[in-house]
Parts: sequence; structure tokens; C-alpha cells
Amino acid sequence: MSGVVDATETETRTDRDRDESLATGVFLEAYPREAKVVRICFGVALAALGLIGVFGLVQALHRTGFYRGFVSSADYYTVLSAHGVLVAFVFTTFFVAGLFTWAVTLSLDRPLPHPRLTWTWLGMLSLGTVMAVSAVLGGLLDFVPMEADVLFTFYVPLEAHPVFYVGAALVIVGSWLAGASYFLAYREWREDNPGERIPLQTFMVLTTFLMWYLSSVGVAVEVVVFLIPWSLGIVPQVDPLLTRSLFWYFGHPVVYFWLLPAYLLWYTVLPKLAGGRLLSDPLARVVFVLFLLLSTPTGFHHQYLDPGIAEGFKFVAMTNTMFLLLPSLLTAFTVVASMGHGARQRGGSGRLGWLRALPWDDPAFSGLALAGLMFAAGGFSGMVNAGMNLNYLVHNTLWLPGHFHLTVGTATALSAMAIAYWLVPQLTGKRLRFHGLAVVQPYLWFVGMTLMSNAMHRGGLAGLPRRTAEPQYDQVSFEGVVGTVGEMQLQIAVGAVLLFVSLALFLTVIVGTWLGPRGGQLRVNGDIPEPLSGPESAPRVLDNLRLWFAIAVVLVVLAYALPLWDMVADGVFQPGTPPLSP
Amino acid sequence: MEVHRYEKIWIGISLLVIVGWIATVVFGAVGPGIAMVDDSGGQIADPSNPTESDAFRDPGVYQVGENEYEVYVLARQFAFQPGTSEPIRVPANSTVTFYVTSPDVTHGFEVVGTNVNTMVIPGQVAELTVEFDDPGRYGIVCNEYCGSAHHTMEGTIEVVEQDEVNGTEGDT
Amino acid sequence: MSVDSGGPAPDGVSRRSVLRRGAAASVALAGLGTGVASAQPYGGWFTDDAPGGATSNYDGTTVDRTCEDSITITVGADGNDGSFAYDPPAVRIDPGTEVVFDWASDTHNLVLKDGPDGGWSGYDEIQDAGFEHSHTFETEGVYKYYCEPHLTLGMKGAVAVGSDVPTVTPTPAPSGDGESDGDDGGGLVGPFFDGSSPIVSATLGFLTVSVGAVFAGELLGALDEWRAEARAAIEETDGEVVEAPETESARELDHDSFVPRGTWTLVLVYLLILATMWVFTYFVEFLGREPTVIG
Repeated sequence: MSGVVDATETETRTDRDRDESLATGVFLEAYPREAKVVRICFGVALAALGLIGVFGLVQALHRTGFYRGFVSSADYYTVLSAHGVLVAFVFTTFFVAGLFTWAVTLSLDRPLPHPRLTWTWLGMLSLGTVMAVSAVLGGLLDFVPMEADVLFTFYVPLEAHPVFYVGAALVIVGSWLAGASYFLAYREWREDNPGERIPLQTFMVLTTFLMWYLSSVGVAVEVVVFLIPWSLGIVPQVDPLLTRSLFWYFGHPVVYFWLLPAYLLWYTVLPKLAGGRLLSDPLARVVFVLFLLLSTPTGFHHQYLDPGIAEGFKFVAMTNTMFLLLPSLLTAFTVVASMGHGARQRGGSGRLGWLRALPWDDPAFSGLALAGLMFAAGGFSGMVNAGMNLNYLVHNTLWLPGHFHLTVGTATALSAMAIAYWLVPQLTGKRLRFHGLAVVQPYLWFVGMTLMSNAMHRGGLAGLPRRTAEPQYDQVSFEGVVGTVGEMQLQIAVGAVLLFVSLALFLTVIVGTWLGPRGGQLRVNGDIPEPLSGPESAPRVLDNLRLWFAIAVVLVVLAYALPLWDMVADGVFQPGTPPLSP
Repeated sequence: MEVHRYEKIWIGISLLVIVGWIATVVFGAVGPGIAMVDDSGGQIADPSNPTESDAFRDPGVYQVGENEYEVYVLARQFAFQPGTSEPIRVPANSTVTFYVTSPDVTHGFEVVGTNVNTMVIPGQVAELTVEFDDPGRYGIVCNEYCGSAHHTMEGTIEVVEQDEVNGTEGDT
Repeated sequence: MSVDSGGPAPDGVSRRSVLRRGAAASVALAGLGTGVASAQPYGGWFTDDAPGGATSNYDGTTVDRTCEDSITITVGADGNDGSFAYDPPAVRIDPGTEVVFDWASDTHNLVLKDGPDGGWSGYDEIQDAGFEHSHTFETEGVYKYYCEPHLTLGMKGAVAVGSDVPTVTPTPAPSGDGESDGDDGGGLVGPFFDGSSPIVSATLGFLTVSVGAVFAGELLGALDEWRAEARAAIEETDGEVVEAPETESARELDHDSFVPRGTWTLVLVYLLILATMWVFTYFVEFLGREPTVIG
């Protein structure tokens, strides 16, 4: 705890005070209230992950045809909606809120201000979750008079119960208030520390949330202005193209909202776990600034094959999307080099031999590292998705789920599991149990995901559609480019079973730890070493968040003003459609 | 700001990868002439009744030139009209423009094994021009979730020899 | 599944089925595989086992419309989670009765599943609200038909022509049909679930129970172990929570003395993979696929 990232040579009085107050070291004892908040967030996130796993397995076995006894094919879409909504709105949001609460508290070295605000956003997130999820699961239960079989994308005119939309809106607004907590904490810190560089983890949290504020406005407008009144019957019809464009305005940046926590971990925790230090603090800042600038004006790349949008707008979105590769490729280098630094400090050597010196038996390390590796593979399929006309090849095929199970499904989910092995002991004061299971778990996930994802990608090339209960038709046959469809189905099913088992192992370890006794020596150490090249060598302008936010807004206006004007020029609700039940 | 030499080179390579990938896509548009689905198909003011709009005709195959055909397809829960109950029949060596829209919910129109693939959004007409060279049979699937029987929504296109198509087909 | 009686197929069990427990369902599947024939109206045409699943607006009764010259069946009436029903779904008429099929909603047709030779052959073309199709049924027998776009929602119907024609017929073994739930996953499912006998399901059950028992035993053992281990660990630190010590480095490297040569190697390998995959997907897969969109 003493060597947190913001410890610069300008040691101030508060810094010294802090060092004394943190004699005990463990996060739980330094910040009991924040530790509780993080525990609640992680508890919800990991419980959601368990449900996600169950629903994922049901889907994989159903759509590959190996076992269709759990639900009917009509109810498959309820399960699919639940899987998607739990990932997109529940698991990720709670994980982000928990992780960022930890990161801000730790790196600013002060508790979050205004406890009442904290409990308010936690309450809103929880209430929104209960509403949205029960509306979806109502589709499986006869006695619940609600349905929301509209998937996570809820395309109009498919209609969900109003409770679903209100729940989604509450989750979004709750996340905004969580961000407010972090900004207020930063403002207090700034008053005490004028002229200091923003601590790296806090910098990452603030840029991520600026991006999130800018982008989630889209879905908030969609839900509050259009869908809630429409589902209540106040507005008779809405424009499907406009609402889906508002959705995708948010729908791409949201994936960075899920990924940037993993980036934060790869930059700040992974080097430490590898036994080294982050190579460059300034480059990490550059990367997060680029994400703030470029994440949002890219949404039309999800609408390459939408009629009603001119090709020029699609091209602009493609250019922005492609330049988003830059921060990810930079990250690949910096993070791998930081791991390399650790390996050399641990005595590793050679061009590739250093890899052997890494602590592969530490589940926190192996989980984060394998998540990064799979993300590199997902980066390639993401490039294909972004390649405008190339989208004809893969659009709405199984390629897409193949892609995002590498990104959110592994880069985010496996990172979350890995960091839980490291953080949960620090949050509970309890030693990790079932350590042997924990060691195996990330590898099992990696193998399962390799099987499932490669087969999904190849299935997509064969033309197998995504989002379907039974991808088999009377008059249509699919031919695999590499491998046969039957073999792909087998790999998907086996992969999904392995992923399910891996998740079960993870939950066993975490629940076991949580139920265990408190005290004793932990297996983990929460100290984060300073970067090799610190913030003092970074240009000051990098910390000018107002400037970057302003540029981000300008880029969004350039990319979205004209196409949105095209859509609303003929009337905001035109051409409009009434609600239809799925 | 200390950046290692290798990393500087890597930044350069990254930018090359980005520019190269954009250039590839541009090549696909300029060289082989692949065009994107865009707003050229027009809009339908009352999405529930597309045939009343000037932008959409009764579903069916229409001959508009010597080797040119227009096919109007309605995608709806859970069928393509034409396509599902009877195949879309077009001659080989012809240029076919598909106009696809939906009177109910959002659908997909994917001709399996080809690059013909589009979203079908109520109120918008997707326009796709395609060249069919050889006789053959293609499957169409809806690849966007459109309701509880989405997985049954399929159709076929039959590309037949020139002489097997008898002139203009009106309402099919 | 094979224990379904000929009575109503309640909506709550079939279409909106809750997550059933795997074991129970696999036993049911095993039963299904043996092809037990049981007496059901229309050979189980309206139940969950038939193609498309259960028909929610069929309550187990056949509406008697004998002694009438002309009757109407509504196509696309309310039912089956939307306007996806024939009303009435099952009807009995005399030979020579005219049946008018009246479309009340869009996108429906009448595909004959089976019927007597030489009788009505259905109406395959999809039609919208306002359309009518009429046919005078002369040939005695049972006609089963469905709507092609909405079969999976349970949109099915039956007409029994002749007062003596029995509607209760044995359920055919599902093997020949290929469309019932769970047995047509690209030809892969067969070896896993088909032809299971009670012996196979008993073996599966035994395996599940024994693996579960072993796992539970292991878990209990492990629980004891951690309790002991935890107690020892806590005593060691007097109940305090203590972090693990910092890991010792074999050597300390600063920014300038660290050359990321290994990283350089790895990113170049990645670049090579990226370039290869890029050429393959764009130039081989994508540009090689015809036809493509040119306007």
C-alpha cells in the first residue's frame, strides 16, 4: 500500500499521514466502508455470472441440438435475452462499479465522499437489475405477467414489458451516479493536492466514465423518450431506424465500458503479479485518452448493413473504428513488455524462454494473462467486423458471438474472475480456499473458450446465423470452409460444457473463501509498484480532461449530427411502427 | 516521455496495419465494386402497408430490362414473400435488384453462402443489386431475431436457365 | 413425454416450460427413443411431441359440425402466443361439406401434413388477411394441416370427414419424423440420445449419482482440511489479517536497462498471424464468394 502509483517525489503532508494510517496494509482494514461496497458489487456481479453460465450452457446445448429438453425453442429466446441482459447490464455494471470503487479509493488514498450518494447508486443499480431481470425471466414463468423476450438489443418494434425498460433506465442512471462519486472523490483530492498528476488508476476511471457519460446518453434517450412512453401506450408509434441508431450510438462504447476495467487491471495489476512494473505510465494515459476520443463516433459500424443510412456515414464510422485499434495494439506491447520486465526480474531470459519464468501457477496472473491473449485473437475478428464491406461476409452470423465471447466473454469475464482471486481476500480478510481449483480454473476457461469460439467463427463463415434456437432448415444447407458443421457444433457444445465447469470451479473457490474464517496471512499482497517511467515524464496536457472531453464531443457531433438529422427530419416518430409482441 | 525504440517502431507498424486495412476495404469498393446497402431504397411512410408506398411494389419478380430484374420481397413473421411458400425464380446471367422491407418487425435477409446479406427494417427499403451468373439454388435465412419462431424463417432463390423464365411475372 | 394423455396439452407445461431438471428430462427422452405407441387424438398431432410442439388453442375436443352444408375455419385467429391459430383447430364434418378457410391475419397458409389419398391437398401459398380458400371435402378420413411460417408456434389444425372416422389413432414412433424437438442437430445427436434403453438411462443415472457422491465426499474432506488450515493460519497471526510478503526479485531492472526483446518477438509473431488471417478473410473468403452486392 505504501508504494501506490501516485507516490511521487513531491511528498506532501497528506502522503505522510496516509502512510501512518495504513500501517496494517490490507484494503479491508484501511477502508472498511469501501471494502463493503466493493464486496456487494462483486457479490452481485459474480452471482449474475453464475446465472449467465447456466443460461449459456442451456443455449449452447439447445442450438447445437445436443439437448433441447430444458426449454422449448420459443423459450430459447427468453433464455438468450436473460443471458444477454445479465452480461450487458448486470455483471459488467456491477463489476465496473466495484472495481472502480476499489481503484479510486486505493489510488487517491481516501474514502469515497458522501456515503449517502454511494448507497443511492448501489440501490438504484440493484432495483434496476431486479426489475429488468424479473421482467425477462417472467417469460419462463407462467405466474409472472411480464415478458421481455427482446434480447439485450431490444430492437423496436419488438416490445418488452415497461418494467424492463424502466429497470434498464435505472441501471444507466445508477451508473451515472456511481461516476459522480468518483468525480467528487477526485475533486476533494485535487483540493488537497494542487498541481499533482492524477494517480493513474483514477485517471483511467475518470476517462472511462467521461466516455460512458457521453455514450450512454444515447440509450437513455432511446429508453426514456421513446420506449417507456411507447410501451405504456402514451406514444402510439416509434421509428425503428432512429431507435436502433440511438441504441448503437451507445452499443459500441458500452463494450469499452466493459473492457476498460480489464485494461486497468492489465496496466496496473498484471505487471505487479508478473513480478515487474508497468513500463510506461504516460503511454497508458495516451491509450485511455484515445479510447475517450474514439469509442463513441463508431456506432454505425454495427449498422453497416442497415438500409436508410448513407454509405459516407458508414465510412466515417469505419475510419474511427480502425483507429481504435491503435490504443489496443499499444496496450498489447506495453502490457506484454511489463510482463517481460517481471519475467526478467524473476530471472527469466531468452527470446521466448522468459515466458517460462512467469508465475503461471498464480490464478490471478494466469487469468489476466490468458484473458489478454484471447483478447488479441478477438482483436482480429473485431477488425473483420469493422471492415465495412467485409461485413456482408459475417453480419449477424455466428462469427459475432464468436468474437464477443473472446472480448466481453473472456477479456472482461476471465479478468474479473482472476482479479477476484486477488481482491476478494483483500476485501474480506479471508485466505483464498481451494487454491488448487483456482489454479486450474483459468486454463479450463481458456480451453473451453478456444473450442467454442473458433468453431463459432468458422460457423459464421459457413453462414450459420446467430440468435437462433435451431440453426437448421428444410431448404438451406451450410457448408463449412474449414471443417464441417457437425464438428463445429460438437466443439461449441464441448467448449460450453468446459466453460460451465470452469465457472462452477470459480464460484466454488469464491463462495468457499467467503464462507471461511477471517484472519491469518493472505496469499496475496495488495501493493502496486510504481511504473518504470512515471507520470512526471508525461506531457501535462494528458491530464486535461476538459480538453479531451470537448474534443470527444466534437468528434461525436461530426459523426452523428447529419445522419441523425436525416432520421428525424421527417418527424421524430416517423416512419413509425406500433409495438408487436415477439 | 520515454518510449523504447521497439515500441516506437510498433506504433508505426500499428498505424500501417490500420491504414492498410482501410485501404483494403476501399479496394473492395473500387476494384470489385462492392457497394453498401444505403438509403437509396427509399422510405415507407406507413411501414405496416409497404405496398401503398411509391417505394415498394407488390411482392414478386418483375422484368425491367433485357437481363434485368427487380424482386420485391416482404420479410414478415415468419416468412419471405416470395421465397418461403414458392421460391424466388430468376434467370441465370441476369442482374437482379432486390427490394426488401418488413411490415412488422426487424428481420434479416441472408442468402447463405454468398455475400448477399442485409438488415430488413420496417419503414426502410433495403436495395441490393446482385449478378447471378450460373443456374443454382440458394437458401435464404432470416438472421435477425424476429420473434418466437424466428428459427423457422427461411426461403429459397432458384436461378434457372434463361428459357425457363417466361417473361414478366407480376404478382406472385 | 410418452406419458402425455390424449387430453389437453396445457400451455404451462409445453410452450412456456420452465427449466426442467436434466435427469428427469433425459429419462423422458430415453422413453421417447423407444418409440412407444399410445392412443392419442390425431396421433398426437396437437401435443408437444409432434412437429411444432403443442397447439395451445386445442383443448382435446373435436368440434362436431356434422349435418351442416358449409362451415368456416378462421386462419390466423388468436392463440398460440399471438394471431397464430386455426379456429376451431379440430372439427368433424360430413362428406360433402364445404369448408371456408377465412384469413383473419397476415402470412398464413395451409400445408397438408397427411390426409386420405385423393382428398384435399391443402393451400400452400402464403396469403394475408381477407383471403379465402374453400374446399368441399368428399373423401372420408382425417386431414392434418399446419401453417408453414408458424408451425413452431403450434399453428396446426385437423379436419375429420365422416361420422365414423376415428380421430384417436396410435402415436407413430417419432424416429421417422425428424422434426420433433431435440433429434435433428445436424445428424450429431443420434449417437448421444437415440435408441437409449432403460439400461442406458439407468447407467447414466448411476454415473451421475456416484460422481456426485465422490465429489461431495471430496468436498467434505476438503472442508475439514481448510478448517484446520485456517485455524492454524489464524493462530499464527493472532487473528490479524496480514498480507503476503512482497515477492523478492532475483534482480532489479530499471527502464533503461530493460530491453523488451521478447515482447518484440511476440508482437511480430502476432503481426504475422494478423496479416495471414487478413489476406485469407478478405481476399480468399470474401472476394472469392459470389454473388456479391454491387449496387
